[in-house]
Amino acid sequence: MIRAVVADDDEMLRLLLYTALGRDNRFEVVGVAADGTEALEQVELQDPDLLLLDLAMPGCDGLEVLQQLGGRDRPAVVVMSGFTADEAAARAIELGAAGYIVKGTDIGVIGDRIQEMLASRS
Amino acid sequence: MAHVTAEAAGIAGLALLAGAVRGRSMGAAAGTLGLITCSAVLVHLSGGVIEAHFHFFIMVAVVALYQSWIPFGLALLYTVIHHGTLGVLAPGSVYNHQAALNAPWLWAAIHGGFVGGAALAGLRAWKQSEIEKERAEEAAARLWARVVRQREAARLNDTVVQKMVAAKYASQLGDMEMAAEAYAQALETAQGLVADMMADDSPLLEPGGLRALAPEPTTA
Repeated sequence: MIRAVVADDDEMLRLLLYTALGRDNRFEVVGVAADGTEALEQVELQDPDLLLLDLAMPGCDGLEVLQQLGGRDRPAVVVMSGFTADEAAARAIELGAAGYIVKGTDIGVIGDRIQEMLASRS
Repeated sequence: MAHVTAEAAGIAGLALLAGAVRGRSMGAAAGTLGLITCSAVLVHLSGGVIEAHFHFFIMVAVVALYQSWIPFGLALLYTVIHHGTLGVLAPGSVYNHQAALNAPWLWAAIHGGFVGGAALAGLRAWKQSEIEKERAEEAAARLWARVVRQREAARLNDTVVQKMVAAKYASQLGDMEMAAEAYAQALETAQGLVADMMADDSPLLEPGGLRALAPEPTTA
Protein backbone atom coordinates (compact mmCIF):
# COMPACT_ATOMS: atom_id res chain seq x y z
CA MET A 1 0.00 0.00 0.00
CA ILE A 2 1.43 3.37 -1.03
CA ARG A 3 0.82 6.01 1.65
CA ALA A 4 0.15 9.28 -0.15
CA VAL A 5 -0.27 12.98 0.60
CA VAL A 6 -2.19 15.05 -1.96
CA ALA A 7 -1.23 18.75 -2.23
CA ASP A 8 -3.34 21.00 -4.45
CA ASP A 9 -4.66 24.48 -3.79
CA ASP A 10 -7.88 23.84 -5.76
CA GLU A 11 -10.36 22.41 -3.29
CA MET A 12 -12.32 20.46 -5.89
CA LEU A 13 -9.24 18.89 -7.44
CA ARG A 14 -7.87 18.04 -4.01
CA LEU A 15 -11.11 16.28 -3.13
CA LEU A 16 -11.33 14.51 -6.49
CA LEU A 17 -7.74 13.25 -6.34
CA TYR A 18 -8.30 12.18 -2.75
CA THR A 19 -11.43 10.29 -3.86
CA ALA A 20 -9.77 8.71 -6.91
CA LEU A 21 -6.70 7.48 -5.01
CA GLY A 22 -8.89 6.44 -2.09
CA ARG A 23 -10.89 4.17 -4.43
CA ASP A 24 -7.68 2.61 -5.74
CA ASN A 25 -6.66 -0.16 -3.36
CA ARG A 26 -2.98 0.39 -4.09
CA PHE A 27 -3.10 3.77 -2.31
CA GLU A 28 -3.94 5.11 1.09
CA VAL A 29 -4.31 8.90 1.28
CA VAL A 30 -2.91 9.84 4.70
CA GLY A 31 -3.01 13.62 4.29
CA VAL A 32 -4.05 16.53 2.13
CA ALA A 33 -2.55 20.01 1.79
CA ALA A 34 -3.86 23.26 0.28
CA ASP A 35 -0.47 24.91 -0.24
CA GLY A 36 3.24 24.21 -0.21
CA THR A 37 3.74 24.96 3.46
CA GLU A 38 0.98 22.55 4.44
CA ALA A 39 2.49 19.96 2.10
CA LEU A 40 5.83 20.18 3.91
CA GLU A 41 4.03 19.91 7.27
CA GLN A 42 2.13 16.82 6.11
CA VAL A 43 5.34 15.20 4.87
CA GLU A 44 6.94 15.86 8.26
CA LEU A 45 3.86 14.59 10.12
CA GLN A 46 2.85 11.56 8.03
CA ASP A 47 6.18 10.43 6.55
CA PRO A 48 4.35 9.26 3.37
CA ASP A 49 5.75 7.17 0.51
CA LEU A 50 4.34 9.57 -2.06
CA LEU A 51 3.65 13.27 -2.32
CA LEU A 52 1.33 14.14 -5.22
CA LEU A 53 2.24 17.77 -5.67
CA ASP A 54 0.68 20.68 -7.58
CA LEU A 55 3.07 23.33 -8.91
CA ALA A 56 1.15 26.61 -8.76
CA MET A 57 0.08 27.12 -5.18
CA PRO A 58 -0.11 30.16 -2.91
CA GLY A 59 2.57 30.92 -0.36
CA CYS A 60 5.08 28.20 -1.15
CA ASP A 61 4.84 26.73 -4.66
CA GLY A 62 5.57 23.19 -5.78
CA LEU A 63 9.09 23.91 -6.98
CA GLU A 64 9.92 25.45 -3.61
CA VAL A 65 8.56 22.35 -1.89
CA LEU A 66 10.80 20.17 -4.06
CA GLN A 67 13.76 22.40 -3.25
CA GLN A 68 13.07 22.28 0.48
CA LEU A 69 12.66 18.53 0.46
CA GLY A 70 15.98 18.25 -1.32
CA GLY A 71 18.29 17.28 1.51
CA ARG A 72 15.89 15.06 3.45
CA ASP A 73 14.99 11.42 3.42
CA ARG A 74 12.14 12.45 1.19
CA PRO A 75 9.07 10.70 -0.13
CA ALA A 76 8.78 10.12 -3.85
CA VAL A 77 7.29 13.26 -5.33
CA VAL A 78 5.06 13.11 -8.40
CA VAL A 79 4.21 16.54 -9.72
CA MET A 80 0.74 17.01 -11.14
CA SER A 81 0.25 20.33 -12.84
CA GLY A 82 -1.82 22.12 -15.44
CA PHE A 83 1.35 23.44 -17.09
CA THR A 84 1.94 21.44 -20.24
CA ALA A 85 5.23 23.16 -21.05
CA ASP A 86 8.19 20.78 -21.12
CA GLU A 87 10.21 23.33 -19.17
CA ALA A 88 7.97 22.94 -16.13
CA ALA A 89 8.37 19.17 -16.14
CA ALA A 90 12.11 19.39 -16.72
CA ARG A 91 12.52 21.82 -13.85
CA ALA A 92 10.50 19.61 -11.52
CA ILE A 93 12.55 16.52 -12.46
CA GLU A 94 15.75 18.53 -12.04
CA LEU A 95 14.64 19.37 -8.50
CA GLY A 96 14.12 15.70 -7.70
CA ALA A 97 10.56 14.85 -8.76
CA ALA A 98 10.05 11.19 -9.66
CA GLY A 99 7.63 12.11 -12.43
CA TYR A 100 5.28 14.63 -13.95
CA ILE A 101 1.64 14.18 -14.80
CA VAL A 102 -0.25 16.82 -16.74
CA LYS A 103 -3.59 17.66 -15.15
CA GLY A 104 -6.31 16.47 -17.43
CA THR A 105 -4.80 13.00 -17.82
CA ASP A 106 -7.71 10.58 -17.35
CA ILE A 107 -8.26 10.10 -13.67
CA GLY A 108 -8.57 6.35 -14.15
CA VAL A 109 -4.95 6.02 -15.28
CA ILE A 110 -3.32 8.35 -12.74
CA GLY A 111 -2.80 5.48 -10.27
CA ASP A 112 -1.08 3.39 -12.95
CA ARG A 113 1.12 6.28 -14.02
CA ILE A 114 2.20 6.94 -10.45
CA GLN A 115 3.00 3.30 -9.86
CA GLU A 116 5.09 3.15 -13.05
CA MET A 117 7.01 6.24 -11.96
CA LEU A 118 7.67 4.81 -8.51
CA ALA A 119 8.73 1.48 -9.98
CA SER A 120 11.19 3.08 -12.39
CA ARG A 121 12.60 5.12 -9.51
CA SER A 122 13.41 2.15 -7.28
CA MET B 1 44.16 91.25 -10.84
CA ALA B 2 41.19 93.17 -12.26
CA HIS B 3 41.81 91.42 -15.58
CA VAL B 4 41.66 87.95 -14.02
CA THR B 5 38.58 88.91 -12.01
CA ALA B 6 36.83 90.09 -15.17
CA GLU B 7 37.62 86.80 -16.94
CA ALA B 8 36.48 84.73 -13.94
CA ALA B 9 33.33 86.84 -13.68
CA GLY B 10 32.55 86.11 -17.34
CA ILE B 11 32.79 82.35 -16.70
CA ALA B 12 30.73 82.62 -13.52
CA GLY B 13 28.10 84.67 -15.37
CA LEU B 14 27.77 82.03 -18.08
CA ALA B 15 27.57 79.27 -15.45
CA LEU B 16 24.76 81.14 -13.68
CA LEU B 17 23.01 81.74 -16.99
CA ALA B 18 23.25 78.02 -17.86
CA GLY B 19 21.49 77.18 -14.62
CA ALA B 20 18.92 79.95 -14.82
CA VAL B 21 17.65 79.90 -18.41
CA ARG B 22 14.57 77.93 -19.38
CA GLY B 23 14.90 75.30 -22.02
CA ARG B 24 17.52 72.65 -22.44
CA SER B 25 19.05 74.11 -25.62
CA MET B 26 19.61 77.56 -24.14
CA GLY B 27 21.09 76.08 -20.98
CA ALA B 28 23.38 73.83 -23.01
CA ALA B 29 24.47 76.78 -25.14
CA ALA B 30 25.30 78.95 -22.11
CA GLY B 31 27.05 76.02 -20.41
CA THR B 32 29.12 75.31 -23.52
CA LEU B 33 30.15 78.96 -23.87
CA GLY B 34 31.19 78.95 -20.21
CA LEU B 35 33.23 75.76 -20.57
CA ILE B 36 35.03 76.89 -23.73
CA THR B 37 35.65 80.30 -22.13
CA CYS B 38 37.45 78.40 -19.34
CA SER B 39 39.75 76.93 -22.01
CA ALA B 40 40.28 80.34 -23.64
CA VAL B 41 41.14 81.95 -20.29
CA LEU B 42 43.51 79.12 -19.40
CA VAL B 43 45.30 79.51 -22.74
CA HIS B 44 45.44 83.24 -22.24
CA LEU B 45 46.84 82.94 -18.68
CA SER B 46 49.43 80.40 -19.85
CA GLY B 47 50.67 82.79 -22.54
CA GLY B 48 49.35 80.59 -25.32
CA VAL B 49 51.38 77.46 -24.53
CA ILE B 50 50.26 74.53 -26.65
CA GLU B 51 49.65 72.21 -23.65
CA ALA B 52 46.97 74.60 -22.37
CA HIS B 53 45.09 74.11 -25.65
CA PHE B 54 44.47 70.49 -24.61
CA HIS B 55 41.87 71.94 -22.26
CA PHE B 56 39.63 72.64 -25.27
CA PHE B 57 39.49 68.91 -26.03
CA ILE B 58 38.61 68.08 -22.44
CA MET B 59 35.79 70.60 -22.61
CA VAL B 60 34.54 69.14 -25.91
CA ALA B 61 34.32 65.78 -24.13
CA VAL B 62 32.35 67.45 -21.33
CA VAL B 63 30.08 69.16 -23.87
CA ALA B 64 29.33 65.69 -25.30
CA LEU B 65 27.29 65.06 -22.15
CA TYR B 66 24.65 67.46 -23.48
CA GLN B 67 24.06 64.97 -26.31
CA SER B 68 23.08 67.70 -28.75
CA TRP B 69 24.47 69.18 -31.99
CA ILE B 70 24.15 72.80 -30.83
CA PRO B 71 26.82 72.74 -28.10
CA PHE B 72 29.27 70.97 -30.43
CA GLY B 73 28.68 73.57 -33.15
CA LEU B 74 29.07 76.39 -30.66
CA ALA B 75 32.31 74.90 -29.30
CA LEU B 76 33.74 74.70 -32.81
CA LEU B 77 32.62 78.20 -33.78
CA TYR B 78 33.85 79.70 -30.53
CA THR B 79 37.27 78.06 -30.90
CA VAL B 80 37.80 79.30 -34.46
CA ILE B 81 36.59 82.85 -33.78
CA HIS B 82 38.51 83.07 -30.51
CA HIS B 83 41.77 81.77 -32.00
CA GLY B 84 41.43 83.85 -35.15
CA THR B 85 40.32 87.14 -33.61
CA LEU B 86 42.60 87.12 -30.58
CA GLY B 87 45.34 85.63 -32.76
CA VAL B 88 45.23 88.89 -34.73
CA LEU B 89 44.56 91.32 -31.86
CA ALA B 90 46.72 89.75 -29.11
CA PRO B 91 48.65 86.85 -30.66
CA GLY B 92 50.68 86.12 -27.51
CA SER B 93 47.57 85.29 -25.55
CA VAL B 94 46.63 82.48 -27.95
CA TYR B 95 49.79 81.08 -29.58
CA ASN B 96 53.40 80.62 -28.56
CA HIS B 97 55.01 79.58 -31.80
CA GLN B 98 56.04 81.66 -34.74
CA ALA B 99 54.07 79.90 -37.48
CA ALA B 100 50.80 80.59 -35.70
CA LEU B 101 51.79 84.13 -34.80
CA ASN B 102 52.38 84.73 -38.50
CA ALA B 103 49.10 83.19 -39.71
CA PRO B 104 46.60 83.27 -36.83
CA TRP B 105 43.49 82.48 -38.95
CA LEU B 106 45.15 79.51 -40.59
CA TRP B 107 46.06 78.11 -37.16
CA ALA B 108 42.61 78.99 -35.88
CA ALA B 109 41.25 76.80 -38.66
CA ILE B 110 43.73 74.01 -37.81
CA HIS B 111 42.77 74.09 -34.13
CA GLY B 112 39.11 74.35 -35.10
CA GLY B 113 39.52 71.30 -37.33
CA PHE B 114 40.85 69.24 -34.46
CA VAL B 115 38.14 70.49 -32.12
CA GLY B 116 35.62 69.62 -34.85
CA GLY B 117 37.15 66.13 -35.11
CA ALA B 118 36.82 65.68 -31.35
CA ALA B 119 33.22 66.92 -31.61
CA LEU B 120 32.45 64.43 -34.41
CA ALA B 121 33.94 61.60 -32.36
CA GLY B 122 31.78 62.73 -29.43
CA LEU B 123 28.70 62.83 -31.62
CA ARG B 124 29.40 59.34 -32.93
CA ALA B 125 29.79 58.07 -29.37
CA TRP B 126 26.55 59.82 -28.46
CA LYS B 127 24.70 58.26 -31.39
CA GLN B 128 26.11 54.86 -30.50
CA SER B 129 24.96 55.21 -26.91
CA GLU B 130 21.51 56.24 -28.19
CA ILE B 131 21.36 53.09 -30.33
CA GLU B 132 22.48 50.93 -27.40
CA LYS B 133 19.92 52.62 -25.15
CA GLU B 134 17.13 51.97 -27.66
CA ARG B 135 18.21 48.34 -27.98
CA ALA B 136 18.25 47.95 -24.20
CA GLU B 137 14.79 49.53 -23.93
CA GLU B 138 13.42 47.26 -26.66
CA ALA B 139 14.91 44.20 -24.95
CA ALA B 140 13.43 45.28 -21.61
CA ALA B 141 10.03 45.82 -23.24
CA ARG B 142 10.17 42.38 -24.89
CA LEU B 143 11.16 40.78 -21.59
CA TRP B 144 8.35 42.56 -19.78
CA ALA B 145 5.82 41.52 -22.43
CA ARG B 146 6.99 37.94 -21.98
CA VAL B 147 6.64 38.16 -18.19
CA VAL B 148 3.13 39.60 -18.56
CA ARG B 149 2.18 36.89 -21.07
CA GLN B 150 3.50 34.14 -18.78
CA ARG B 151 1.71 35.63 -15.77
CA GLU B 152 -1.52 35.65 -17.75
CA ALA B 153 -0.90 32.03 -18.75
CA ALA B 154 -0.28 31.08 -15.12
CA ARG B 155 -3.45 32.90 -14.10
CA LEU B 156 -5.39 31.12 -16.82
CA ASN B 157 -3.97 27.80 -15.64
CA ASP B 158 -4.74 28.57 -12.01
CA THR B 159 -8.34 29.37 -12.72
CA VAL B 160 -9.90 28.10 -15.93
CA VAL B 161 -7.71 25.05 -16.61
CA GLN B 162 -7.94 23.78 -13.03
CA LYS B 163 -11.70 24.03 -13.06
CA MET B 164 -11.97 22.30 -16.44
CA VAL B 165 -9.79 19.47 -15.12
CA ALA B 166 -11.96 19.29 -11.99
CA ALA B 167 -15.05 19.08 -14.19
CA LYS B 168 -13.51 16.26 -16.25
CA TYR B 169 -12.43 14.32 -13.17
CA ALA B 170 -15.77 14.81 -11.43
CA SER B 171 -17.63 13.47 -14.46
CA GLN B 172 -15.19 10.54 -14.75
CA LEU B 173 -15.83 9.74 -11.09
CA GLY B 174 -19.58 10.04 -11.64
CA ASP B 175 -20.12 13.16 -9.56
CA MET B 176 -22.14 15.11 -12.11
CA GLU B 177 -23.18 17.76 -9.61
CA MET B 178 -19.57 18.65 -8.90
CA ALA B 179 -18.78 18.50 -12.62
CA ALA B 180 -21.52 21.02 -13.36
CA GLU B 181 -20.31 23.28 -10.57
CA ALA B 182 -16.73 23.10 -11.87
CA TYR B 183 -17.86 23.94 -15.42
CA ALA B 184 -19.85 26.89 -14.09
CA GLN B 185 -16.81 28.15 -12.14
CA ALA B 186 -14.57 27.69 -15.19
CA LEU B 187 -16.98 29.70 -17.30
CA GLU B 188 -17.26 32.44 -14.71
CA THR B 189 -13.50 32.77 -14.22
CA ALA B 190 -12.89 32.65 -17.99
CA GLN B 191 -15.35 35.48 -18.52
CA GLY B 192 -13.75 37.44 -15.66
CA LEU B 193 -10.30 36.99 -17.19
CA VAL B 194 -11.48 38.10 -20.61
CA ALA B 195 -13.17 41.14 -19.08
CA ASP B 196 -9.93 42.04 -17.24
CA MET B 197 -7.85 41.66 -20.39
CA MET B 198 -10.22 43.79 -22.45
CA ALA B 199 -10.65 46.46 -19.79
CA ASP B 200 -7.82 48.81 -20.73
CA ASP B 201 -9.24 50.71 -23.72
CA SER B 202 -8.89 47.70 -25.98
CA PRO B 203 -8.45 48.62 -29.66
CA LEU B 204 -10.51 45.49 -30.38
CA LEU B 205 -13.57 47.29 -29.09
CA GLU B 206 -13.56 49.73 -31.98
CA PRO B 207 -15.91 48.90 -34.87
CA GLY B 208 -14.23 46.23 -36.98
CA GLY B 209 -11.74 45.28 -34.26
CA LEU B 210 -13.37 41.94 -33.55
CA ARG B 211 -13.64 40.93 -37.21
CA ALA B 212 -10.48 38.82 -37.12
CA LEU B 213 -11.88 36.79 -34.23
CA ALA B 214 -14.71 35.32 -36.31
CA PRO B 215 -14.30 31.56 -36.76
CA GLU B 216 -12.65 30.50 -40.00
CA PRO B 217 -14.99 28.75 -42.44
CA THR B 218 -14.68 24.99 -42.32
CA THR B 219 -14.09 23.12 -45.51
CA ALA B 220 -16.38 20.24 -46.34
